[in-house]
Amino acid sequence: MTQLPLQQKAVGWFFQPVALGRVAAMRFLAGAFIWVDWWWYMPWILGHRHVPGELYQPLFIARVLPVFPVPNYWIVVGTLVVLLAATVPMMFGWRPRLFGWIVAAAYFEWMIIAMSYGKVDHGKFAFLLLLFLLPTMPKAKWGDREHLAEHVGWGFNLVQIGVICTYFFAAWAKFRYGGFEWVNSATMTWAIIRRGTEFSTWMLDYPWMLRAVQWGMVSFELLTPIIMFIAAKRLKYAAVAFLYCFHVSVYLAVGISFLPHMVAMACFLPLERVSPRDLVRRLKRGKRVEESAPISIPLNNADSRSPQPHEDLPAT
Amino acid sequence: MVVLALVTATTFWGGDDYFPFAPFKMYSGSMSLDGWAGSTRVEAVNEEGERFKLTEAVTGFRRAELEGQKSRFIEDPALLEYIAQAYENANPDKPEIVTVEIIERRYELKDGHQTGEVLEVVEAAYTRDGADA
Repeated sequence: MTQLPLQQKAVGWFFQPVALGRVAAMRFLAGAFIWVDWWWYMPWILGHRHVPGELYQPLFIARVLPVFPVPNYWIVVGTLVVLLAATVPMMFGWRPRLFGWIVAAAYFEWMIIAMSYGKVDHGKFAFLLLLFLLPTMPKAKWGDREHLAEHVGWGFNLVQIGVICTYFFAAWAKFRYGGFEWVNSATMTWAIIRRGTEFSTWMLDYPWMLRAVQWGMVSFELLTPIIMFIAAKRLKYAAVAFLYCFHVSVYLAVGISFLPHMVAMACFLPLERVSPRDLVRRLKRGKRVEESAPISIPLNNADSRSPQPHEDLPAT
Repeated sequence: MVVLALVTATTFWGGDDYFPFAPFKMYSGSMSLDGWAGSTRVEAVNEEGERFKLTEAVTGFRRAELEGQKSRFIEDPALLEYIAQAYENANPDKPEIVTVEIIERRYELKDGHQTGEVLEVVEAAYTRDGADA
């Protein structure tokens, strides 16, 4: 559909082909998140169905494009119903492009409903990119490592750049709004006073530690663009694992999880290697195989003098 | 490409208003090491004289949204009626609300430590016409 001549000719980094199996996995993950989002992650969006229109503060995009109505009970509920209904076929790969577009549009409206009451959240940029790029990708099957597409590589590259931008520009925003002194300010203290947990409130007694955390956060945020250019797969996955760890610790400290961002970030990982059918087959074959297989392979690789051939290449 | 250009541009010049292209400013403000760290809440009094917190769970209106529109509420406290309305829409069986107040609890910080000094300030208040709360 969107095969421009430029794409067909382009080689190298930006259009490095990626296996279609990853598309199926990402569709499933994105849909799974949407199903969790509305009742667990951001249940307050649905809460907006009760809020009078007088408290609705249209965003720039809604003032320019007159297609976004002032939310009321039925607009909020209706958007959610359409969104959830379209998500199911997308998740399981039935007409994934058609339903992918419906999901993307409905989720966008869902975000307008969410962000138009005086507070804009910033953790969903990469996820929105993902939703709008998935429908441009072909129909795909779980665990498909044989069919590769440059278009998929390009799309996931964009999502990855979106993920990285989120960190890098977050550091920039700190300097813009907080100034360079942000790193020495009491922002973490403030955050923990407001939403601290039992894992973090003790830190209030050690302000120097919180300041060190701020230095650390800005440093790694500024360094994240490097991830895009790490050639060694294992190093890249380690860096992505570090980012996941960062989000887990932020969640434990102040209860903010950036879950959609973490879903979008999954497209860094070789999800085409996951095949539910194989897993089920292995389960049937007996517990011993299932238990030993996932653990022993990486250990063998680490010890072996002759590493496995490149994981992302199609099996020949 | 356009998307990336926009997100870059809004990071430098834009504001939250340009969602979905907006600066990623989660906790980007510099909080002063000396001064007051504030925590806002909304409280209500119902017809039966009970005082309770109007949390996002009972109104669908979030604390951050309240803070985002706080200047509006302080300028025109009558707008607080809409928060009461949200509560009544969500809880039609509960007694109606008579009074709504925005209260900020401020903790004093010195050199990043809490001094233990706490202040409570009512920043805006609305009482329904005809009620003597």
